[in-house]
Amino acid sequence: MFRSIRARLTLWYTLIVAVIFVFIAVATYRYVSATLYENLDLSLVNEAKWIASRLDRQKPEEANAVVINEIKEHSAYYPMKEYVEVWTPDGRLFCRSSNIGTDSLVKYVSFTPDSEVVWTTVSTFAMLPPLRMLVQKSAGARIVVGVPVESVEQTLEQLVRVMAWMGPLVVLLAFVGGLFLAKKSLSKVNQVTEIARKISADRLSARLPSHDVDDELGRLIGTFNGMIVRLDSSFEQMRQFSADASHELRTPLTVLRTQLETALSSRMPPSEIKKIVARCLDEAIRMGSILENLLLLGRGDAGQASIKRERVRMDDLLEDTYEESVILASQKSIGVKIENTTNVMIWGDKQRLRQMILNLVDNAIKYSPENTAITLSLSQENGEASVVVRDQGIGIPKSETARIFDRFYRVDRARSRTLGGSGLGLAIVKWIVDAHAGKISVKSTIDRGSEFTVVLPVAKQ
Amino acid sequence: MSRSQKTVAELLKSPANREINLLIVEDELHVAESIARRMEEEGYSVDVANDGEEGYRLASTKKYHLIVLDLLLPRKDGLQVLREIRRAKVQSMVLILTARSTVEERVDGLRLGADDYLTKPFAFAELLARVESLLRRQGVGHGPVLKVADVELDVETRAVRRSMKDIQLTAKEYLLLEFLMRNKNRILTRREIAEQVWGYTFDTGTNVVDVYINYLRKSLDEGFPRRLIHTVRGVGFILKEE
Repeated sequence: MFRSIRARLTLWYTLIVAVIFVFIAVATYRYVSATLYENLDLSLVNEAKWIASRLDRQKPEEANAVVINEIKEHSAYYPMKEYVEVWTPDGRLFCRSSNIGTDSLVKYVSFTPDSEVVWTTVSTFAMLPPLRMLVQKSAGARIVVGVPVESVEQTLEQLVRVMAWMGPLVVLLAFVGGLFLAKKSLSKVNQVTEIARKISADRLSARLPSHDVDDELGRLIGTFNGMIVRLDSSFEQMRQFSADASHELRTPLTVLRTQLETALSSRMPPSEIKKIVARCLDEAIRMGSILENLLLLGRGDAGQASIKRERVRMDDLLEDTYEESVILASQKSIGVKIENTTNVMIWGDKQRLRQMILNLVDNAIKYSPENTAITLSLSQENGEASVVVRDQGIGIPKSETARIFDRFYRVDRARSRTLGGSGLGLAIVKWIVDAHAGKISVKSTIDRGSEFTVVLPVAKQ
Repeated sequence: MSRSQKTVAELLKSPANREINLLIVEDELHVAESIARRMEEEGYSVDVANDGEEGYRLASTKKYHLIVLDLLLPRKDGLQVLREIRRAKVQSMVLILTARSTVEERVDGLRLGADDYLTKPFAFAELLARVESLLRRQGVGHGPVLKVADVELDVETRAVRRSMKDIQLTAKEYLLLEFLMRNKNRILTRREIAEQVWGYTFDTGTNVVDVYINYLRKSLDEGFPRRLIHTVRGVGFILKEE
């Protein structure tokens, strides 16, 4: 039962209400009892005063009996039962109200001859009910006044009874109310749980119903949905990637299979078989390079690919790759030239940076018609080195520029097959640029050409 | 590229297939050429298109019994070609051949009016079997009986006869013989047979092939002067007439 937040919330709520109730009950009891006793004491003081004044103002002609009678009568008509004793300064009983009977008030009170005022509550009378008493010295005489505490006690008892009856009721109401409140505030949570339970890798398109209020729950749902969106897109990327990877490997595999099946025909002349074997070798090499590139990217994703950190003279590197590029491009009669170069050092991996430039050049060659030109340039500005590879090729539609660095992405899938390539060249370029804390951008005009710019931080001297 | 010149294969055409026209739309030149060559050996008359535009042009101008259509094509996507030829009321059966194999893509192709679907890489024997079965559905093709030398195999009744004598085969022996007959005059590796007949995709299991080849030899070749199943040392097996 304590496993649910709802039960715990309800329990806490009930407990807190109960504690508050007990506190209020105790405080009320104390206040009421204090007030009642104070009133009682006040009436005793007033009575004592009256008796004292009566004694003081005793006229000479009046006999003691008259005063005694007056006091007795006053006490008899007093709304509460009142017990009065007056003792003369020399210790004789002056008067005693008739309701005291044969008992005596004074013998239950201890006081010294000097004490002016003594307050006490006595409940040990033989004949009388428990009394609140005041002993007051007035002009030598001692006035003893007492009233029963019974009425006060009764009121307090009644109060306790009411409290005792109300306590469980309040706790019960708190429990029911708490349960209701907890249920109300947690029902959305249950809903969220229910939907979250249904979301799995296969069903990531599901979203939690949005909770329009920007409260804790609204934020939780928002966060949760955000997480699902991120998961969804990374799962989708993974699915896409494995579909693409298997597709890329299937195509050369199909060539291998059909060619080899053909070669095993008993009517195939040996010269034909040689041609087929050569083709198969090409395809095997091609599959190998796709796998190599996939592994490289996979290791890069896992953070396992080693990137060396050494000082690289970019102008030397550009010169190196230029020489290779000229040979690569000559097959399509494409000219390569270095437009601009400068002595700039960067920290990085020479091999990878070479691969980066060659991949960009290879990409430029693939998408350029014959007899065009590819321009390389290197410049330095604001602590950054820029490598630019520009071609006069077919260009990239604006809508596609964001995706060309995606793995296996090709603007025209079918055309790429005849051009060769793994569809991973630019993805590897992007990865190398990222690993060097650089940035890559592309500007392109359809049928006019593309310009790839890689910006890398310059090594400090 | 349409193939009009006579090839050796054309001379070997089985009479029943001579009038059947097939169109191969496939951009991978070597794959297209291999399929065409193999189909011609089977006696079909084959045209090849290397891109979607040409495929559509051929499919809509000449009557083909069956079109083998790759999906990823230059100039015009395979699904687009399919959509357009169906809109043009071209009745040819279409067998989609593609490296894509997700369920969605299969469904797309079939919904657009393709008749069958084969995923790359494929085995020729499987492609041939699918083509034959599609053609049979149309009531054309060489019928259900495969013939090699004096052996006849009916793929519908699964009856095997040699020199008019019934031969009893177990289910696996039958499948093995059918595969060998579909690939007559062709060396088959043990791995290839294990994959195509037993559906094994793992490395072991090729000795099963040897065992069943021996069973099949006993049933098929024993008591006949000419042996049909030959071992090619270090490579595999071949079923041939001479």
